[in-house]
Amino acid sequence: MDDTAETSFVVDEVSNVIKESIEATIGSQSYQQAKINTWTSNIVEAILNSLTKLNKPFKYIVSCVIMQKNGAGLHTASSCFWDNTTDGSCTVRWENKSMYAIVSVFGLSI
Amino acid sequence: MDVATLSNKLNETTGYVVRPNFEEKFRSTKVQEILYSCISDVLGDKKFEQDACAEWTKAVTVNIRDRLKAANMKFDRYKFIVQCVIGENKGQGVKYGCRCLWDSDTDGMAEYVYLNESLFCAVAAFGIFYY
Repeated sequence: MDDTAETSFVVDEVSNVIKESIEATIGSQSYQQAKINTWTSNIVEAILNSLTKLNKPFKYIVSCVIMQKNGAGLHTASSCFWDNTTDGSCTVRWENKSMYAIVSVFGLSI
Repeated sequence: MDVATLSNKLNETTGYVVRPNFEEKFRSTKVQEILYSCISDVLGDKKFEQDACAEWTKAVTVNIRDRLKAANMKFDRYKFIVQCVIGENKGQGVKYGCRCLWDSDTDGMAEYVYLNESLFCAVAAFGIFYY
């Protein structure tokens, strides 16, 4: 079908969008308690803006966890009840010397 | 006639339902109770363990998703996303943020953060109405 590219969630495209946003916001920075709120908001908003520009009939949920590196362990899991043919998610794990960032994007077809 | 019967009558006459009734709407306070009880069941008073945690995150999310799907919740037209983060409590800084592009009349989110001496657990449940 011609329209599957337009109406299904394309993981690669979204993955690139996420990586660019993270690099642009915290690419060269070290963990700073005072700036962390701004960083998470900026990353999430930038991703949401780029996703809307793709002009697809989707609702999006973008979430971001930033954690300081100090030897502690972290696990994340997500469970979804949706339509497998049209909906999808993409999670990107990123790190630098002082912190970890995990960003998840969920796209649900209207 | 009460609000529920009135809106049901309206739906019958107009046909296709594009907005949920008040009872069928994703209400954060109602869902937050479910999050709280699922987390207490799975995590209770546990200590952070690297391997066990992988199982706990999956158990918490699957548990919550199944309870949201249950018939008595009346979320028939909803799609769900449940996300859970469990981490060790070692004094490090963590920030969890999210943004959504959705229809605020019909969609909603509930969150809960559980903290004990050795671990923290943050859960977010999103409900998206399917038109």
